[in-house]
Amino acid sequence: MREMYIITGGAFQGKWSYAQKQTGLPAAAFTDGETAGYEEIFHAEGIVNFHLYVRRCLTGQNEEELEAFAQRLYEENPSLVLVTDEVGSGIVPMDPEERAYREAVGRVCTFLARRAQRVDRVVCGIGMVLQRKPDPDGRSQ
Amino acid sequence: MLVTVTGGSGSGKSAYAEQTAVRLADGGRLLYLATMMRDGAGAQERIRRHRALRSGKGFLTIEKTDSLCELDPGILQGATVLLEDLSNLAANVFFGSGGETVGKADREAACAACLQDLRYLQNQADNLVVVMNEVFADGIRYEEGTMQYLRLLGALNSAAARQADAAYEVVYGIPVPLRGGTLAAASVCEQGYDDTESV
Repeated sequence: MREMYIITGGAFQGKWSYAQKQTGLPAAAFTDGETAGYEEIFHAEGIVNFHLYVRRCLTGQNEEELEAFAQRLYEENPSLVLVTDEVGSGIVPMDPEERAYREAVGRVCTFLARRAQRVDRVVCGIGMVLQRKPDPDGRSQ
Repeated sequence: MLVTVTGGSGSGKSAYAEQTAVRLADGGRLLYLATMMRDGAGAQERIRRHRALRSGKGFLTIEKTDSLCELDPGILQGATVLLEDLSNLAANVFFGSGGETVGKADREAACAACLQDLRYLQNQADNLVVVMNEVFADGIRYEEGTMQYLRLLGALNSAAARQADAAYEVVYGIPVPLRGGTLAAASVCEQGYDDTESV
């Protein structure tokens, strides 16, 4: 049984192909956050462009609502492979919606990262493991 | 002990900086030095959020938006100070002068003033934890004043981290050591970039 695995990094760094190689999942196993329906993420094997899912479906929610979403996602789909762009590393925008979007991606991912088995960051196609918890059988994945 | 903590929006850097301050204080006095102006964009919401995060942890809050070297040494000595954050302090000093143009000379003056404040806190307090912001990677070419501000932040972050005993970038709540520590999970997975459709 796989556990939650988050792959983050800047845009166009090879995160998706990295995710496929690390997990063995084919591209078709990933839904796309740019177009996925709200409920789709709760039973998908993987999602790419998770930041765009947050932008479309969650921006404007308050922190409690974001946490409730993340909690539900983790409970209903604990083995999700989640690929997301890091979007919070710029000047905090004046526009409240743009600000809320960046904040929402950060909050949801921080909540999920605490529970995820593994978190990697990809730069120039090279992944660095930021977090790897021992799996329940004591093997490292 | 000086520890610097950087990160993007919503990265969990504040929560990590608080934990670090509580750990360093080891039961000693904790001061939260708030530099944000109360009337900024989303300021009230941020203040509410950070207050809730800190509540029950034993921090005494001091609000001072600039000239931190005016703080009474008596209150700093023997304390662990959490400075939140360096970017607000720099903005208050840099943009607070009121002039129309905020150019190179203003930037250099602001840099010197902020470094003097940092040095003062570092010398007086037992421990100093400095929160700063990763704001350098959105690829946007801003107008001159903002570009000078970004350059100022880059210089301040670098100067603070250079003197720090430990410097971290927080990514989704995970502290990634930039210096003075090793990542618990540190390992690198080499993967060729071979997918033109990749994200």
